[in-house]
Amino acid sequence: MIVLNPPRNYLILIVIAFASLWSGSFLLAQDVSPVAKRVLAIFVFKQSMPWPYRFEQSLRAALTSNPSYPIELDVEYADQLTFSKKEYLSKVIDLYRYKYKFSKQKVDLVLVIGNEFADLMLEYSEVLFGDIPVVLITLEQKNKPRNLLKPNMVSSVYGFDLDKMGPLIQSLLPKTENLFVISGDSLTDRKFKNLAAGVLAEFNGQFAVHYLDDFSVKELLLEVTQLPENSAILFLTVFRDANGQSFIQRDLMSKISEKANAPTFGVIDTYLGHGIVGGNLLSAENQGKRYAEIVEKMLKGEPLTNLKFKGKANQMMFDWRQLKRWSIDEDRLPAGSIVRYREASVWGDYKWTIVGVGAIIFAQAFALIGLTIQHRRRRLAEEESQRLRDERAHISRVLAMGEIAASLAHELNQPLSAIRSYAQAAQRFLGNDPSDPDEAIKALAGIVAGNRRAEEVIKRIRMALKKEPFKQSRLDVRDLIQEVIMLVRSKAKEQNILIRLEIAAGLPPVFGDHIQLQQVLLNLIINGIEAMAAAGGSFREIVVQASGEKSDAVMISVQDSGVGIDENQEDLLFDAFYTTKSEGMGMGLSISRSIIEDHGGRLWATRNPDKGTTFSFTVPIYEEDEK
Amino acid sequence: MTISDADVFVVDDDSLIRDSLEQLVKSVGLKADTFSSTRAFLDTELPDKPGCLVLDIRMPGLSGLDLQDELFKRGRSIPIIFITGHGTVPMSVRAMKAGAVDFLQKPFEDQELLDAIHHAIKQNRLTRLDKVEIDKIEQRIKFLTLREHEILVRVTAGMLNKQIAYNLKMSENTVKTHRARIMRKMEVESLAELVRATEKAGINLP
Repeated sequence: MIVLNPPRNYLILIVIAFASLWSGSFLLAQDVSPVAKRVLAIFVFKQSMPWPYRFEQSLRAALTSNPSYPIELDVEYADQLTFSKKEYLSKVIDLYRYKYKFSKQKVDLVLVIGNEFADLMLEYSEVLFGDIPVVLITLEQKNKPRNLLKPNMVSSVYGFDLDKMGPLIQSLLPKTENLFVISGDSLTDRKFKNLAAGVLAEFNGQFAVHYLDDFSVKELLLEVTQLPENSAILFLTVFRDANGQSFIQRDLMSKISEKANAPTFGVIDTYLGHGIVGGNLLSAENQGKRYAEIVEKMLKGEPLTNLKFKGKANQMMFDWRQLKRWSIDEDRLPAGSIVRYREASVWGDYKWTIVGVGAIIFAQAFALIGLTIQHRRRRLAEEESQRLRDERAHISRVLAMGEIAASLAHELNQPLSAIRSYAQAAQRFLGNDPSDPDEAIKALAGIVAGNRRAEEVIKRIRMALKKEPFKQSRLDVRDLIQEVIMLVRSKAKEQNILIRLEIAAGLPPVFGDHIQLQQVLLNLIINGIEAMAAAGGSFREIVVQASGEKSDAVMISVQDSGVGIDENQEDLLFDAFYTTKSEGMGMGLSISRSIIEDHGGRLWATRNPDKGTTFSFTVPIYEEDEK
Repeated sequence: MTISDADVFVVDDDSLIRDSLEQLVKSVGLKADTFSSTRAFLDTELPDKPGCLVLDIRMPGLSGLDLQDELFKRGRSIPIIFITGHGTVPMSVRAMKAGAVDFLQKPFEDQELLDAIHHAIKQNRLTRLDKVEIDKIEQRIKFLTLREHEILVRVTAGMLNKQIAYNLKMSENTVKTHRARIMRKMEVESLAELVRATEKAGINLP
């Protein structure tokens, strides 16, 4: 590390001691309103170069924030790297003399940045600024003999730490065989090259070092595209090329690294983001701050021997995009490295917003999926339970049909018997002498009618035995009842029971499952018939009534004059497996009730005042908008 | 109800069965009249001519068997042929005991039914003929005097004139005169004929 190397000269010490005393009395006098100190910084560079500009900004910020007394900073850019002729330099010196020596703007300290002007200062400092303190910042101190320094001068360095460059390149790119060091033709450029060459010569690396320092920029740009395999570039500075052309470092470096077929490493932090992979970069900001501290201390009159830098000047910094471009594993970077320009900049900038929004979206998606799964599960469960109900209803229907099987056979036997009679009658009408075709035709018509009826009965039976899923449609109440009567009338007749219909006129159609509603009616009528068969008695009648109970439902009831139900049976009536019959499962009423409830209606039993029971149920009427 | 002159009456609540039976009956040249309920048949006055009734045994309300009973109670004798879809043995026994002519199970051969119908009508006709003769005999008996009725009973019982004279405390000649008058009034020519007529009319010895 470079530290201040103050001259140990008694004379200087005395001068400084005197100066401190003087300035101390001055400070005492100015206690009430301290006079601002003026610092002049002279850069050898062209104005608006990135690194010097940032250095200046950092220096100014640090100096002007001094709480004890105001410090004003004047800045000059000598642009010596572009103009190096004596004529120009003498004009610059004249200008500065005029500005700072003879004007009222007296300067308390001068900061010189750059070798070229430092050399100039050794010659002209007295002419220019008298004996005020001067800090000279150069690339190195080796060639600055102490005896050349005036007592008021302090020599310092930029602070480049090139020692780490060789090891860094070797560790990041172990296959590297050639390192090309680019530098220019100006004094600073050459000094820089020498500095680097010294360091690299000491580093016993596995790669050969080549210096590209006597090319014009045009040639250089071509050269870097043709580098051998496993090469790396170290870009120092090219303030001036072999043709005498001067450049803004960053722009040039950017062009070179873009064209180069090898990764480019740099030395200053303002190169980062403009094409270099990175390196142990000198921070303009850090150096600005560090020199501000030195300036403040010197203005206070502290002995120059005690001046020490705080913090570090260099930082391992890398460009993420370049690491990717050259396939350099991030894990290889030295500890404490800073990696900038990560591409996921949206992520970087809006990380928490993205996380938040993402979390909300995820939560919503999760909730949606959850709800969908739940809904699907519920639907499947509903479907399953409906399927089971359908199954149960079907079994019950088959059992009910079994109970009336004999009468169903009779119901089929009737038309069959009639058909035979008609057929034989027709034969006779035609065989008689004389034949009677008119009557024969009537008989044949009778056969057709009988056939239709047999078909109708079979259709009813098949329908009742069919296993159909629950499906509601528009149904005519009268048709519904009469179709069921067709199935049970033989059964009723067998028991000498009359089934009487009382269907109110103008009933609206209902909305229900054809088969299942008929099943309910069938169950109720069979129950009624069996109840009456058990009861005996001469007057045997079942009344099936249908009326508009409410505006939105039709009530159908089946009234018998059978044995009736006990009060204590009423509660058990609709329970599954409860039966008073010797045969049967006791499922009929339980299933009937669940069928009716599926339709949104209800089924209930009432005891008739005189004899028997009335079962009633409601079915919602068909609304036009239902489908 | 209107008076029908049908040969065959069909009572069945099933119109298809009713009509097919009517056609069948008509196809053999008989007349048929149909009724949809037992009640309707009961309310109809039957013509004074031989015929028969084809009756479904099971019907709502008044059943076929009930109608049979009712007809018997009202003294309206007509031979009945029962037809049934699912008859039981006790049912057929009851029907036959009550005088049914036949008991047919559906579906049956047409000839079966027609034979039954013919048989029933023939029987009915015979029954009806007997009834006419008895009516005549009974009419004749009504014209006998009390003394002649007393002597008729004893003659048909096989008593000799002498015994009747002794029994009724009259002369044997008087008995002979009464006997001759009875034979004339009863329009018979021999004792045997007289006995048969009185037997037909169901006149028994006291």
